[in-house]
Amino acid sequence: MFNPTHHNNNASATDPLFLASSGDYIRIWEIQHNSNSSNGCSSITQKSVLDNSKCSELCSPLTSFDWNPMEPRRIGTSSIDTTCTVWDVERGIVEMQLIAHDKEVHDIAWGESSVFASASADGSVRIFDLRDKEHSTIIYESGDSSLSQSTPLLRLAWNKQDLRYIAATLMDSSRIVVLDIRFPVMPVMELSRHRGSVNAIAWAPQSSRHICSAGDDSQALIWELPAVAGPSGVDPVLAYTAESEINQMQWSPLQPDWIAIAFASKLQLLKV
Amino acid sequence: MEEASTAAKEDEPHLKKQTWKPTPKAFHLYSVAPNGDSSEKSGALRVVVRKPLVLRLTTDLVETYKICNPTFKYSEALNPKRYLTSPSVGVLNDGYDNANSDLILSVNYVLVNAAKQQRYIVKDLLGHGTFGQVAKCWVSETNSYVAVKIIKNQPAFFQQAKVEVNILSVLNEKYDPEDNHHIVRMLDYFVFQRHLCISFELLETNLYELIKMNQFRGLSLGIVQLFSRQILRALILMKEAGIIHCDLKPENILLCASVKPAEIKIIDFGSACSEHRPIYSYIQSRYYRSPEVLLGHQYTTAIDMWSFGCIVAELFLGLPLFPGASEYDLLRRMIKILGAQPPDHLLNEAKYTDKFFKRAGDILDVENNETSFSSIGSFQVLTEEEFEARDLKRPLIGKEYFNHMKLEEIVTNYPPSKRLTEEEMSKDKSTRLAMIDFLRGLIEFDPSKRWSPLQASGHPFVTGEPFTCPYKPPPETTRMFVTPNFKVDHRPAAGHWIPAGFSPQVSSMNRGPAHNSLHFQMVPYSHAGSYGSLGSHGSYNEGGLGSSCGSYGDDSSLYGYYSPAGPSGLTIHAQGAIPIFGASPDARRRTSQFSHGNGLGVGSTANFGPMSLGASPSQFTPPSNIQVSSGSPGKYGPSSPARGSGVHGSPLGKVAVVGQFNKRRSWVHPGSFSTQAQENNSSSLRQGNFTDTASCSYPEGNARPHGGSPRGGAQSNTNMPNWRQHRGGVRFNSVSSSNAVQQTTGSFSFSDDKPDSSSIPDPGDWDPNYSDELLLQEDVSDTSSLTSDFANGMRLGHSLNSGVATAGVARQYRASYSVHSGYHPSSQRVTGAIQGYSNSDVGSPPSAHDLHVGFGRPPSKPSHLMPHFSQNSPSRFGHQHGLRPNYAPSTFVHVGSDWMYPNFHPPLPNCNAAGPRSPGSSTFSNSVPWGRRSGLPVASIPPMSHARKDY
Repeated sequence: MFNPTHHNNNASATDPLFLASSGDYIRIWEIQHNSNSSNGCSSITQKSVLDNSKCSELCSPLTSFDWNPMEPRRIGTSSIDTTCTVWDVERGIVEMQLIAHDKEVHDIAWGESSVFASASADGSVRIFDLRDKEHSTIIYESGDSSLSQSTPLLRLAWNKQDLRYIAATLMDSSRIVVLDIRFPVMPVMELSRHRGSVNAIAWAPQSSRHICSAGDDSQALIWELPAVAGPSGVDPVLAYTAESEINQMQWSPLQPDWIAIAFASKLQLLKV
Repeated sequence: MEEASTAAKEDEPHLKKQTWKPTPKAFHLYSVAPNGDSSEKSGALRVVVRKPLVLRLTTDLVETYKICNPTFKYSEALNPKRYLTSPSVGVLNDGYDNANSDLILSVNYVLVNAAKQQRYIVKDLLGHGTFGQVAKCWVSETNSYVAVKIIKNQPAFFQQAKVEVNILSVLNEKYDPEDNHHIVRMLDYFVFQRHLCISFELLETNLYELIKMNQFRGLSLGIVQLFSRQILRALILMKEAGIIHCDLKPENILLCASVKPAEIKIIDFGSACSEHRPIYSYIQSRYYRSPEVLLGHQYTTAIDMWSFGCIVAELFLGLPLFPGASEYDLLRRMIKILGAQPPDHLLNEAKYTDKFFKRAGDILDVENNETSFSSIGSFQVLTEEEFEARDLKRPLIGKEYFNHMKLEEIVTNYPPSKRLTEEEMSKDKSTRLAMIDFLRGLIEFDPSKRWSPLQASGHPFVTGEPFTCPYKPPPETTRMFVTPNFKVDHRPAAGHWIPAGFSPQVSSMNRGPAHNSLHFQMVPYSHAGSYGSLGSHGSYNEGGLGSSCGSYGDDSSLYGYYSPAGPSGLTIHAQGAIPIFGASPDARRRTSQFSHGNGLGVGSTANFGPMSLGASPSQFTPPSNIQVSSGSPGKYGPSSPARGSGVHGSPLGKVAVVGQFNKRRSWVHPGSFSTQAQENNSSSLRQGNFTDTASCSYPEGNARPHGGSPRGGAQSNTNMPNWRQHRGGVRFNSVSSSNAVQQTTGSFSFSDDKPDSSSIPDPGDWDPNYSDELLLQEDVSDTSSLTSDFANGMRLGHSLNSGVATAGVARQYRASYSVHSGYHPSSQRVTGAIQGYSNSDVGSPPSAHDLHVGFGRPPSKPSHLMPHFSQNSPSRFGHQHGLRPNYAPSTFVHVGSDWMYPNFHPPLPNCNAAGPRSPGSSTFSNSVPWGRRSGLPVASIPPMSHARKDY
C-alpha cells in the first residue's frame, strides 16, 4: 500500500490535521487525536487517494509534491511521466495536468497560490502560472546553453520569504544553484562548499537570506546569502556533521528554530 | 539596471525583518576544513556502495519501484507527448501528418536520415509556415543543435524545397566553401516519412525581431554599416552565382549564434531563382518589392539590391521605408519619398504599367487635364480616385510614419539613437549623408542604374572612408537581362494581364506593352489559342465572364492588380483590337490561365509522381488549383470567386500570409482574411486531394488530365495504369458535366500550357516557378484571386520547367506539359496536347474541369473533391483555378521565407505579380505553379504514395 522506500512529506497541516504522502499516488491521511485515550495517542486514517492514472496496470510514480501554503486545497505533484498535476484536495479531483518538461519531473514547489516551479531531468527549472497554461518560463538550464547534454536537476526549493529566489540541486553535484526568477538562465550564485552531492535543501522559514543544505558529505550547512557573491564563492555560516550521509532535511515552518535531518536509520533534530 | 535598483530597494525591508540569525547550537561555525578528511573519505566510499536516497527517489525511481514490486513496469512511451505541431491529430500519411500535411512533431521525436544513419532529435519548434515547420533538433554525435526545415508532405512544397536545396548547394559548396559570405549553411537534407527535411546551422534572432526588441527604434549607424557590409558580401556572391534571392527582408537575415560579434547570415532561399530563369513574376515581400517586379518588368539580381536598400533604411529608421498597404500604396510611397518615378523605358515595357499609370495621350483626354502633367513625362501615376475608378476598388493606403516625405529629410531628421557629443554629431551627420547617397544608389527606380553589389561595396558608407562627394561607382559590366525566351514568357503574361484588366481603359493601355510580350507567347500559344481556346474564351466570356465580371466587381480590384485571368476575359475583347495575335491569342492566354487552374491542377497532379523523384517545381502548382475550386464556390459565391479563390489559394500561402500580416502589419485585413484563410485551408486540403488524383494520372502522361474531361475518362482509363488516374478521369467527367463554363476555362488553360511548354525548353536547374507562387501570395488579401488566376497560367509553364529540371519529376511534368505544348517529344505529351485541344474544341470548358476533377477523385477523399467541383460555379472555376495556382506558388515562396519566422509570410504578397506575369511567362511560370499547387494538395492524400514511389 505504502511505498516503503518513500518518506512521508509532511507538507501542511490545517485544523483537522491532515497528512499527505506521495508514492505511487498521493494519499491524504487524517490524524485524529484520541481524546478518550489517556496516553494521548492518535489514530491516523486514510482520507483519500488521489489517483490520476489512466492505465490500470501502471502508475506513473510520483517524485515529489508540494502542498500549496497559500491555497491549501491545492497539491501539486511531479511525476516521471514528464507531467505536473495540480489536485484539488477538497474535491479530490485533478485541477489540471501539465506536460511540464521533456523528461522526468523530479520536484515541484509552489511560489504563489497559482504559481509553481518544477525541476526536471531535462536540466531545466520552469515556472508555471495556472492562469496561463500555454506557457512556462524556463528560468534555468543546466549545462552549456546550447551544447552538451544538460545535467538532471533533482530538487528545488522556493524561498517563501523572498519569492524572487529559488534554489535547485543537480544530480551528482555538490553545487546548489540559486536562481533569481527575474534573471533567467544565469544563476545569481552557486553554493559549492559541499564535498559530496547535495541531497536536500530548505530555505529558512523565518529569513529570506538563509538556506540549509545537506548532502552525502554528511554535512548540513547553513548559508547566509550575501547581496553580492564574492569572487571566491560563498562560504556557509554554520555547519553540522552527521554520522553518515544525510538523505533528507526539513526546516520546520512551525518551529523555525529546528531543523530535522535524516541519515542512515536516524532522525536528528537540530536547533539553530 | 532598473531592476537592480528596485531590487536594492526591496532588499531594505527584508533586512529590517531579518533580525533572525542562526545560532551555533547544534551547528558549529563553518571552517574551511571541518573534520574534513575522515568524513570525506567515508562519504566517498559510501557513494560507491550505494546511491544517495534522493537519486533513488528521482532518477532511479523506476528501479526503486521494481525493487519493491518486481512486476512493476514503466514505459516512457506512456508519457503524454508534448506536441509541437498543431493540430496534432494525425489524419494523413498513415497518421504521421496532420490535416495540413505537416509532420506531427513532439518533443524528442526523432527525424532520421536513413542514408547517413543520422538522427535528429526534435527539441523545440522554431517556427512554421506554409512550407512546413522548422524544428530545433539535437544531434548527439556532434553534441549540437541544428535547425531542420521539415517540408509539408505535398508535392508542390516538396519540389520547391528541392530548388532551395539545389541553390544552397551551389552557393555553399561551389561559391562559398569557406563560409565567408554570410549565407546560411545547409548541413544535410533527407526524406523522412515522405517529408523533405533540410538541416541548417542554427542561427539566432532575425533583424526584424532585433528591431522589434529595440522598440522599433533604429539601430546605430555603426551597426547598420556592419550589417550592410555583410549583406553586400552575400549579394556579391549571389550575383556571381547568378542567384536572385527574391525575398530579401529583415526577417530573412539572422544573427549568428557564433562568437563573432554581430555576424549575420541570409536565410530562406525558398523563393530564390537563377537569374537566367526568373520564372516567377510576382516575388518579393511587398515592402521590399522592387519597382520592376511591381510593374511586371523583367528582373535581375538588381531586385535584391532594391530590397537591400530598403533593409538598410529600415535598420536605421526602425520602420520600413515603403510600408505599402497595397501595391498602389507601395508605388505611391516610392514616388513620394524618392521624388521621382520609374523611368519611361521601364514603364513602356512593363506589364502592369497601366494598372498604375496613365499615358500622356490619355492624360490629354482627361477632362480636368492639368498642365502639370506634361512635366512628368509620358506617364502619369494614377491618383487614388483614378485608381479606384479603374480598379473598382479603393486602393489600400497605409498610414504615414515619417513626417518628412523625402528620403533625405527622413534620414537627416531621424532622431539619433542616443545623445551625442558635438564631435559625434558631426560624424553622425556626415555618416547620414553618406547613407543617403548610398540609399540613393540602391533605391533607384531604374534597375540599369541601380548599383550592383560590387559597386555598392565601394561606397564610403560601407568602406568607412570619409564621405566627401556623391559616390560614382566604377562601371559595371552590362546588365544581364533575362534571355529573350524568358522575357517572352513573362511579357506575354503581362500582356495578357493588361488586357485582362477588367476596366476597358486598362485593356487599351495594356495593348502597347502587352503586345510585345504577347508576341513571344503568342508563338507558343498560337496553337492552343487558335483552337479551342478562342472558342472557349467566347464561351467563357459569355457565360463566365459576363456573370463573373459582375461578381468580380468586388474582386475586380484584385484582378486589376494581379490576376491575369480576370483580365483575360476582357482582354479577349481588347485583344481583338490587338494586332499581333488577333483576339484569340489573348483569349487563349486568358482562358488558359483560368483553365490552367484546372488544367494546371491536373498537371500538378502529374507532378506529384515526378515530384517524389526530382525536386521539380512543377509540383507546387497543383495545390493552388485545389484551393481555388473548393474555396471560391461555396463560401464566396460568384462575386467572391476572385476573393474566395484568393483566399483559397492562400490556404497554403495566404493563410500564412494573413498570419504574417496580422503579426507585422495589422492594417492588412487581419480578421476577416484570416478567417477566410483558414476556411480556405480546409478547402485547399480538399483541393489538394483533387490534385493528388491528378498527379496519379500523370504518370501515364498528361494525356489523362487533358483527357480528363469527358475524353479524359476514357483516356485515363486506358492510359492509366494507375488506379488513381482512373478515378480522376471518372470524376472529371462528372464535374465537367456540371460545370460547362468552368470546363471551358479549363480548356483555355490548356492552350496556355502549350505555350508554356514551348518556352519550357529552358527549364533550367533552378525552379523559377517560385515567383508565381510568391506573386499569388502577396495580394492574396486583395488581389489574390486575380493573381491566382494568372499564376495558374504561369504555373503550368512552371511545371513544365520543373519537369525539365528534374529528371524524374520532369518526366511527369513533361507529360502534362507536352499535352499543352506539343513541343515535348514524348508521345504522351503530344497526345495530351491533342486532347487538350480537342477538349477545348468540343467541350472546351469541360476538359479543364475534368482534369481537375480527376485530381480530386484519386485521393483518398474523393467525396470532398467532387463536392468542390460541383460547388464551384463554372465561371468561378476558371478564376479560382487560376488564383489557386498562384497561391500555391506564393505558398512556396512563403515557405522559403517563412521557414524561420512567421513574419516571412508577408512576402507572399509578391506572388501576385507573378500571377499576372505568368501569362506571359506562362510557359515557364505557369506550368510551375500549377504543378506545385496540384502537387501540394495531392501530396496530402495521394501524394504520399507518389512521394514514396519517387523516393
